Amino acid sequence: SLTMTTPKRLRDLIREIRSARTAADERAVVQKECASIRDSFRDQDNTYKCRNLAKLLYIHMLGYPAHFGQLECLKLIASAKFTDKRIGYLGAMLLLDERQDVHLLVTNSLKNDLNHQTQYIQSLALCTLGTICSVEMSRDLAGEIEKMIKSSNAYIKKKAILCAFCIIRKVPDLMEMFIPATRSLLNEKNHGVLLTAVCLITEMCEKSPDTLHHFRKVVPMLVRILRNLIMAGYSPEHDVFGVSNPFLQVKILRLLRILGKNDTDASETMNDILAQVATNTDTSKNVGHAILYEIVLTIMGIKSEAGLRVLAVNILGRFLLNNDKNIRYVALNTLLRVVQADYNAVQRHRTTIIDCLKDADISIRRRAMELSFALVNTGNIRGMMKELLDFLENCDPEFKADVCSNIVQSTEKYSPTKRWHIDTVMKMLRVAGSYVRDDIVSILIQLIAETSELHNYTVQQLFLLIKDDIHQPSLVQVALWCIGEYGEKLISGVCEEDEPVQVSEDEVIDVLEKVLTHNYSTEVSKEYAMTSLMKLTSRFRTSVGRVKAVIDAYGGSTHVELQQRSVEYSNIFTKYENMRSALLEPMPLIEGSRSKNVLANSESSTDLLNEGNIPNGESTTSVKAKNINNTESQNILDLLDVVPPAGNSANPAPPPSGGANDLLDLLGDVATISNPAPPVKPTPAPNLLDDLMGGDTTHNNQMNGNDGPYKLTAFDKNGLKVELTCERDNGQANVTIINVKSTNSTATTMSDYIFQAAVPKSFQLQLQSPSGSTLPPMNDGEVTQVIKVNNPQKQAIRLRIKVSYKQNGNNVTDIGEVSSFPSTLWQ
Amino acid sequence: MIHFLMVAGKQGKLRIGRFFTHQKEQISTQTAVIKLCLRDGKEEGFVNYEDMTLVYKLYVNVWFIVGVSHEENELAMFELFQNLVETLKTYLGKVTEVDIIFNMDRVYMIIDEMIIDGQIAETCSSRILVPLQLMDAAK
Repeated sequence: SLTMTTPKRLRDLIREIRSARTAADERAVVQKECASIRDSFRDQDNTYKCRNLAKLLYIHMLGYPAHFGQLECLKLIASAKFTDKRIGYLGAMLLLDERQDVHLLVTNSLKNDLNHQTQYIQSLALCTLGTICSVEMSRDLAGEIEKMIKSSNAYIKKKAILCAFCIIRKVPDLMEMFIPATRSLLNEKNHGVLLTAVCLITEMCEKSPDTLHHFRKVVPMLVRILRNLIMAGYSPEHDVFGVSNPFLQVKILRLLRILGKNDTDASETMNDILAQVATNTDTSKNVGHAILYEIVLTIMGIKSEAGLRVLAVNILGRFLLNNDKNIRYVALNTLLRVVQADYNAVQRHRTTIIDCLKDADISIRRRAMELSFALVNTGNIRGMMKELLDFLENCDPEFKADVCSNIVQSTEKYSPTKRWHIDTVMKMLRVAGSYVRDDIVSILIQLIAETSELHNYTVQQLFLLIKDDIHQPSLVQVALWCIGEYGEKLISGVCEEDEPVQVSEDEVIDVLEKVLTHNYSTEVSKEYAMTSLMKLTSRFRTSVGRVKAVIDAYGGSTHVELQQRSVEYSNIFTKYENMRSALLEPMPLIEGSRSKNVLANSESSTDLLNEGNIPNGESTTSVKAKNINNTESQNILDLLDVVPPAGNSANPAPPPSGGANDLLDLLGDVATISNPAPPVKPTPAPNLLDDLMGGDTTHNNQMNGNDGPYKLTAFDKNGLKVELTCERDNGQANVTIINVKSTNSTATTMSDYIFQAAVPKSFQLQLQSPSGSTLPPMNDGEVTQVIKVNNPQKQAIRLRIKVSYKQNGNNVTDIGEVSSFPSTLWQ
Repeated sequence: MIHFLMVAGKQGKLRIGRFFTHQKEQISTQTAVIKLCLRDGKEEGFVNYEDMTLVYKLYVNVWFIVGVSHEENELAMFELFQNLVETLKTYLGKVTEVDIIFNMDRVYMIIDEMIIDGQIAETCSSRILVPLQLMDAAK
């Protein structure tokens, strides 16, 4: 055979490949080289095996197949020379993985090399084992590794530790055998060992709750190590811009987080050091920020004291002002995760967050948007909505649908007045009507239908919006429905608010016809238009003929749905003229809780850092309660009035069966408005019954004729007694007035007493201010409150009540239900 | 947990690819990841990719990219890049793209000393370089 020429050196090959002009040239060079390497391997040429394998690795990295080198790796590993072994192991790590058969053959070499005299060869074996270990290898070699963890050589120790890390990931059962050796590792001085040991312990704790419990004892040690790191002063080996070994600090902080989660004692031990590191870290460079970020995550993840949590949120607030967009992004992300738990603290940074809505970076804008919605509450909704509507107008189209859905939810929860709610929703439609999701259209229609006191205003405003501009489908659809339904109000020239719009029947039909004929209109919009036109024949007086003509024209439409509607409606004109007005009567209110639909779609950001930090329900609801400012005292609320008790699980109580549907699904994680907030200086509520009956009605125990006050006990538990005295309102037929009297028969005072009530959907409830919020003991006084229940559908009155108060330092909440109201009260 | 570490040239050509967890379709992952990082035109940042976070930074004309699981501290990864570049500088004298290309095997060895099985093992450059210096002396 011909003598081989000396194989190229690696760098020559690299140079040659780089100088190839085209992909085909490169392939040619590679193939030629591969052939030469293959020959060399086959000829058992040992001198240049190293070099050849290195070239093969390069070729592999470029993406070409290199499997024929696998056996060569084994041979090199088995060689005695360090350089051979080095390349051999590198090749094994890059070319072999568990799926190859050759993989198992490495085990023997690994076993030998793990016991080699030279530490660098041992380290090669350890490194390789850490990379390619399989289940069988793990079982085989675990004993060796455990021995090596106890070695006195720090270099070997740290690699062995990471090998153990790999082994327990592959074979979790083997974790037990490593635990004893691991504990003592934290006493080491060598940073590499510490780093890897913390790593291993972290993995063990994540995998097994028992081990986690076992390792809680090392929290003091970890705290000590951390303290030494920051006090130690300059250590050239591990210093990064003045911070000692930030990698180790970060790893320790993460382990502390895992150990402190859900454990008050461990968390308490950490409080000091966390505060110390947080305040001592220099933040002029990224490295300081990295550490602060980890600290914030840890503080939020453990049961830290309130002051520390506020510190963490403030750190995040400072991050938000940083020039580096990555740091801003990280801050927003974390704030989003903690906003539920630390609502008040995050609120303080609201203005900064709103500024981030105008950030240059799109992912920051998105996070800021989500966070803003999480922060909306009754107190700030007007200001926030203004900013958010601005944002909506200018933001990227991909956001708009989400923003609209969020706006609908927020206004549902927190609108101060009906008029504002409707206005905001209409503004949203005007700005982004093309992007609103379809389900939102039906929700909005339902909202408008329920706000009967603003029908004139709403329909007139909507008409103005689409009069000249019909290119936004969702806006058009909502407007068309309203025009059809409330046509007579549109042309009435009367309006509850603002100046009424003067418009004639013909103008309205013009617009509807335009929708039908225009290219812009979607099929759905045209269908709405057709139905609305039909409805108008019974709302308008003079336009029947014209409408009929328009509808007939679509009898031959190629769009099936339109054609069907047209034909059927035409039929109503011809064959069923006598039924027409009955068919087109105003629609009843849509069944089903709109609030439930709206809020069911909401994804509140519930990821509290994957932790079990239960949101502090009490603080959030009390904040929201105090923010209500019911300036419009006649505000009849449709929304559910009762805040779900903080201690309850998220599952709502099952709705009672029966006529009135969904009596208060207590929406799990949604805190709704409680009404009204107990005033600071109680003003005595007018006792209407006294005026009407001319005297003290409280002793009247029985039903006194049809309209006399009826008295019953709604609640009597733990010394708290709530009595209701009910009678019909003589002035308004459907209104029942209930006088609530609460007394306290225990020996201690009940303070911060709040009485709340809720009624089924078809009712309306108005709670007036209570006379006070303190119940003196031993029935020495009382709190009275007046409730008015409006019952237009004359259904059986049912009431669900909730009481909450403070007694002996405990917060007590309770619920009850009253349904035994006599029928004379409402029929 | 670090899933992989990649070093690429400015145009996106892979120079070093080190996978610490088994990835299906390594080659396509490589190309997809590099394309994703180059796409936004930012010099450093992080982005979500499948079930992990990619942290990337451009040093002059070399991209350093690392794919980590979600619990990792992204800002600490920037420090890792800095550490790696400084170690390479100590060993190679200067760090340019060409140096990395032609010393590919050494770079792999340095990475092996620093990161084992996806976890950072050693960050002190003098300790990292000892085995390599020994090997060079033996040659």
